[in-house]
Amino acid sequence: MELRSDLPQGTLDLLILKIVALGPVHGYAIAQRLQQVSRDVVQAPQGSLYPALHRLENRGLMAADWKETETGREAKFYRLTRKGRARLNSESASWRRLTEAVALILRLSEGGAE
Amino acid sequence: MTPWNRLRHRGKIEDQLEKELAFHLEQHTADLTARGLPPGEARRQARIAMGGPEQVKEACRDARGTRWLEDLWQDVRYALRMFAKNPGTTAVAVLSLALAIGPNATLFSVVDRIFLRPVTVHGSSRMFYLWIKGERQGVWDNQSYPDYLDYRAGGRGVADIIASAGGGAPLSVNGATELVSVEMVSENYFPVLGVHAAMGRTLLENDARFQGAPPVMLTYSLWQRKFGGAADIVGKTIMLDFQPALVVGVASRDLREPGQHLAPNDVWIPFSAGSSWDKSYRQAIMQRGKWPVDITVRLHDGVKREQAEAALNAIAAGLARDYPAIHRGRTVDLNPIDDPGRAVFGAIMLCLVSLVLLIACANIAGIRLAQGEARRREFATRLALGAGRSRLLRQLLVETALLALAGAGLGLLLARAMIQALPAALPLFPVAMDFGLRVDGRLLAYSLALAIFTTLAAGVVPALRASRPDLASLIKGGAPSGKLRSWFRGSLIVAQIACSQFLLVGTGLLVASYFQVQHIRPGFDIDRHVLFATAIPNVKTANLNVDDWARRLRAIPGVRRVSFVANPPLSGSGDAVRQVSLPGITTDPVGIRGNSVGPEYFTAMGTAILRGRDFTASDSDGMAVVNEQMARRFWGDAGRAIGQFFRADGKDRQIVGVVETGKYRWLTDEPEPYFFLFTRVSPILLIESAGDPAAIAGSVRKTFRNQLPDVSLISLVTLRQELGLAFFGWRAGASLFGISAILGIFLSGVGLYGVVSYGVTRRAHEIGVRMAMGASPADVLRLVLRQGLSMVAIGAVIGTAVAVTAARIVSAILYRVSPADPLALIEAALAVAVVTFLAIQLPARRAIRTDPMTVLRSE
Repeated sequence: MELRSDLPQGTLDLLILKIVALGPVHGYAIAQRLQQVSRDVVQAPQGSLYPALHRLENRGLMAADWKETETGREAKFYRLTRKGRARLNSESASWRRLTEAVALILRLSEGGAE
Repeated sequence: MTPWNRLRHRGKIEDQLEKELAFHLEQHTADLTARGLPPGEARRQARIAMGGPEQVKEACRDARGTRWLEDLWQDVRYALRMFAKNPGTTAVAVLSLALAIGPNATLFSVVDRIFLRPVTVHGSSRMFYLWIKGERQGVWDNQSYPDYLDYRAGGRGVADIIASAGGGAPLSVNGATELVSVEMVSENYFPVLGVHAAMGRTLLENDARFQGAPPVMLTYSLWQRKFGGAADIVGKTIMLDFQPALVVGVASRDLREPGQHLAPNDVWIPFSAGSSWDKSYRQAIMQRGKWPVDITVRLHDGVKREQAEAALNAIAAGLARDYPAIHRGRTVDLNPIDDPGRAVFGAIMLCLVSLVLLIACANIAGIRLAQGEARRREFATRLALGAGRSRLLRQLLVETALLALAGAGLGLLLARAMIQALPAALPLFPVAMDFGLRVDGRLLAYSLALAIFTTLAAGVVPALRASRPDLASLIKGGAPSGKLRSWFRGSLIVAQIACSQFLLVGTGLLVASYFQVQHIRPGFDIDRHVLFATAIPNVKTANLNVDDWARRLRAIPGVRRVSFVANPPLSGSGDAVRQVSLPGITTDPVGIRGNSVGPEYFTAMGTAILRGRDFTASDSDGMAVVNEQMARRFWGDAGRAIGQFFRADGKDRQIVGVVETGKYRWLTDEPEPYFFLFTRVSPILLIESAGDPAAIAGSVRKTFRNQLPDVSLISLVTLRQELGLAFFGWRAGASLFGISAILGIFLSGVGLYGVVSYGVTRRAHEIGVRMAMGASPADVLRLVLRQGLSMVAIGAVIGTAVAVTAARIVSAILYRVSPADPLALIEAALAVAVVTFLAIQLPARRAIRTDPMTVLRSE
């Protein structure tokens, strides 16, 4: 059985916002953290990561600066804007409500099958 | 970052994207190497994880949200490159459009000023003209200033009521005197209209009770024209009617009053000041039923039109009771000042000239279609490489839009030149008129709308065609299946020729009408050597010594006769109906139009005297001449009218002569009764010369300047110039159609040439094969011409049918010309035939000269 599953629509943005909320971070680090945090369960193709980053930046949810990494290389670091933080809060709240509701429905239908 | 900045820093943004992705790959490779993979394998895996770099970049560009702008910029650059590669075709397309849009925009600036521009006053939707319906059906009666005061006082509860009356007065600036239009207004006029002045202030309520010089407000146009836009005009004194008047303000440039027809007035002055000018004026204004004024009402909030009409009719009933001789049977009718009919009339005129634009659009569509076919390999390749069809469509539309914008831009330059040249083409008006024509925001917006229309009309179908190449036939390498394409191209020719033919037939009919109108006899010889001189004394005197003026003018060599006329014939003025009593014939007074003229007037004008005699210098005020129509109506025939009496303007008049019936207001008037009273005091002198009247104009001017220093000659025109206004409507209609028709048929010829020429090029191979197989030049000619000529014929028939039908509907604008006038139809057909021949002969010759060997070898 395949353990990895595709990300539901729109959740990639939420995950990126959550990771960037922890502090300025560059694209590669976001990709790695996505993989670690989700324990390889969700598959975020790096090909769709960068368009998502640019989209969030374009919408003003994130801002970016070019800074040096620990290894002395120049990289583009993303950070959350005030608007981005507000969006993260509202999105995570609604996500939580949605998953609880889905879990509830699943439990109910399992109960019905018994 | 604004979209514009993104576009400007596009290169930098692309670099950063490249750098960001490269950094990712390197980090990933380094990590994998650290985990023990060989460097080559590490790089490979990192690449796989990333996905195709170009796809990622594309997706990132899409995510930026300014993709459309970047693409547009790319399309524009691509289009400009393409235009530079085909300069000839591009020039033909742009010039076609400029020729169509220039005259169109020019006409718009005129139509907009006269018909479309809304009235710029406060609450215009609640404003109505107060018109008076008389006893006779469909006839509007005049109202006078005292009537206005009654309506205003009585109607206070339902509406604000204002009045104005037009007139003219000489304005002297730096020694030069010119007649300007002066509008007398009620003291509440500007406060009710709620308009603001551009400088100073508008006329206010207490201006009516002025002391000393009367206060006046100037139009923007007069301020610019006569005072050079002097910044210190407010508070200055100007000489109006040779008396000082105080300028209190200048109206805003775009002011449009209710009731304004052609051009705005020049000066506004309170009624109370107008009546202070001279005694007769004051008497006329203050007399009931005499001097006509325009009354406009603005209903109070929440008052219905019917309600107001009822209230005002109650006042009208009171007036009818108090002044039955004037007001009996009169009722009030309120008419909205925003008359949609005017806008419709203006729109129809614009639609007519827009036919030329349609013809030009067909040319552009033909060019774009041919270009699309020439580039079908390019498009097929791009489609095969994955470019979206919408992307191709957009690029093609951007190309057409650029052509349209260039055409509109050039057209606007043309329009600006035409607008500047326009005043010279207008007839002489009794007073100076400034229509305020100029290139303004509305004209720019209209031109832009034309460009957008062109893009859609000429661009969409060719773009759809070109972006859907026939892949199968491309692969085979043959010509595309041409059936559908040539059908579309053929219908373009049909439409062009139909529009041109319509305009040509219309031109023929209007020109024929114009010639017919020239043959109307207006009751005098239009070729008489006659000058009209309008002169006004610089100082107010009780008696005008015009006899002295006339004596001095008679002394000029070449002058035959000098007479007087109150209203020059067909000048559009003095057409008021006067109440005439005919004792023993009718019990009630009859409304008849009349004029006042001096000695030998009829001889000077070449009017036929049927019975009796002309006026002579020894006649008195009690003498009159009537026209044949009037003599017949009241006395049976011309002979019996001589010696009879009638009463007009409060005096008994004895008829000394009967003259032919002429035209008095419009050239096309039905014959009507008319009378001439004798006068020897009129500011308008009629001078008959032995030779060309223009030749003695200089001597007339000199005589006034040297011998009559107390008199200002404010206008001197020949009879021909004077009649320009009467013929103007016909001339304008014929010119408008004529210019459109010439442009239309010219552009159609260009389009026809393009299509036939393209067809010959495309079928060169087929023609070569046929000739090799023994086809004669005549066969080839038939092949080339068959399609083109049948399209022209179909178009001509459709255009003629539409024109004749339309002319039947609006036959009122024709004069003694049948809507299916054979001459007009033949002329139009000839014009189409000549242009068709010119357009087709070049490509046809090329087809005949096709060398089969050359064509077949090129295979």
